[in-house]
Amino acid sequence: MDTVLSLGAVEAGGTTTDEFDALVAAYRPRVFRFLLASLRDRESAENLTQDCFLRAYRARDQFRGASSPATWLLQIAINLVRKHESNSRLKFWRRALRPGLSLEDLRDWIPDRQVTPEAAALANEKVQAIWRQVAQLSERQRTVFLLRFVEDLDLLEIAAATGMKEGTVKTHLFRALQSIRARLEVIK
Amino acid sequence: MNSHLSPPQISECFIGGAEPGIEQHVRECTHCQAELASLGDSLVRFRGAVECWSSHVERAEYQVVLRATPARSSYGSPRLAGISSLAVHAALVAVILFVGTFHPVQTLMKQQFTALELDLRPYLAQQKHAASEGGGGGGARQLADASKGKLPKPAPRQFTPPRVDPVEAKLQMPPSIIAPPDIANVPANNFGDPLSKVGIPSNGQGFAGGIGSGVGGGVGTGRGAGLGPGEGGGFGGGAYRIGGGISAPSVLFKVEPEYSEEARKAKWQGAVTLSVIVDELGRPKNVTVLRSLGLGLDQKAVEAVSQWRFKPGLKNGKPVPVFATIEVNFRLL
Repeated sequence: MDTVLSLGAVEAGGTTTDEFDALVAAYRPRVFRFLLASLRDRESAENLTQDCFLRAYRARDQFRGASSPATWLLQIAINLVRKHESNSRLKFWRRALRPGLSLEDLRDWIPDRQVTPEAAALANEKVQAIWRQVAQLSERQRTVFLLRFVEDLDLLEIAAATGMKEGTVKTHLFRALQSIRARLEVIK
Repeated sequence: MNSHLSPPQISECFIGGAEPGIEQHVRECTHCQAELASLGDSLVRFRGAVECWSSHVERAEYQVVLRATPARSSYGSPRLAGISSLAVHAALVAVILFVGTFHPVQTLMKQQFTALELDLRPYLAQQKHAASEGGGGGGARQLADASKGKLPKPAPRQFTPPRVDPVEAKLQMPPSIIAPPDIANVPANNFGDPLSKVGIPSNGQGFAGGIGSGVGGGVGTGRGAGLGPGEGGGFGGGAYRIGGGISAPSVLFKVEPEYSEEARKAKWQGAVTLSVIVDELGRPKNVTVLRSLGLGLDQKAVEAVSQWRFKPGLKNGKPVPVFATIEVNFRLL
């Protein structure tokens, strides 16, 4: 997923539709993955992915190439998530109707590389614990955690994408990690 | 650095940027390495699960979604769109109104929609309206019967009831009764009941104004502001008024009125309104001019209408004499 797309045309400020299509093809899975992990709702994730690329397309002239396209797109996605959260806070009835956080979905997709069934079960337990705990995190902590450990961005990139200072990112990440480790300790 | 790393320190290691001493401890201490590896393994597996899940979920609709990516950034200015939408709607409404002004369209629509107009006449005919048989009466509780005299001017509304003795007033409101305009009258100097005997001037034994033995402002034995034995307006015993159970007479045979020579020369146009009593046999009687046009056209209209034949008005299925108003149009081609 770490496709590096030549974005010379983007930097020149003259993206054609084809080039943007290539950008979408390259980064769509990543953006979608982040949104899906953040929102845990396939419909919303798909909608916001569309929104994200639509915004990116409209603002493509403003992209100066100062950061990587991935950071830029994730920045847009983060803003969309923030907006979505504040909107959906009012829609409390939808939260009640939402099916149980897609935990079962995730269980099916845990890669099974363990030798013994016991180890596999334990690994599954751990992944689900992390997944549950991620839902408990605050929005900022969750965003930072997902960017770091799922999207594999480094601290500077996270800082650029979230608009926070590096120290702040570190603090959030630290707290997120602490709470997840506390959860994992319980399983052990 | 003999003791193992504390949880915060492990977290720091993971985040990166931990102190050099801690990093060295990790390199040396197998327990802490195992700790870190366990956490790392869980996180990597978590990442794998999320990736796997997301790629599976996404692949299902990948093609469709990709095609839905925006090809155009904007679809024109919203203001322009609003204005053009308004213009289109206004044009449509204008076209509809314009088409509606054509006569053929109107007649067509009327034909189309007659089915919607319920024919209420059979139901209306069953209603009894006493007002169709007019009448009135009055009096001033005097001992003598009402004396003979002329009727006051017929009018659609009554403001002052008639009195036998003249009223002393600087500004007189001429008395009137509610009656058709062509009721028979007698020539006399003072008001009175035309059907009564000549005698001492008296307003009659009735009460509430008027003349006669009835009640109300009319003349006669009835109630109300009319004339005669009925009730309400109009006058009783004569022709009926259309409505209230009386169907309107319809024309069976028509004679077109001629133009008078003077009117033709003067290029005089307009309408003459005639009042007619259509009797039980459908013959016009008492043709009088309600609204005159002049230049001999009134006479021509009366001549023509006198030759007309009607289907008489019906009351409870029986032909009765009925008042009718006819408008004769004179148009020069």
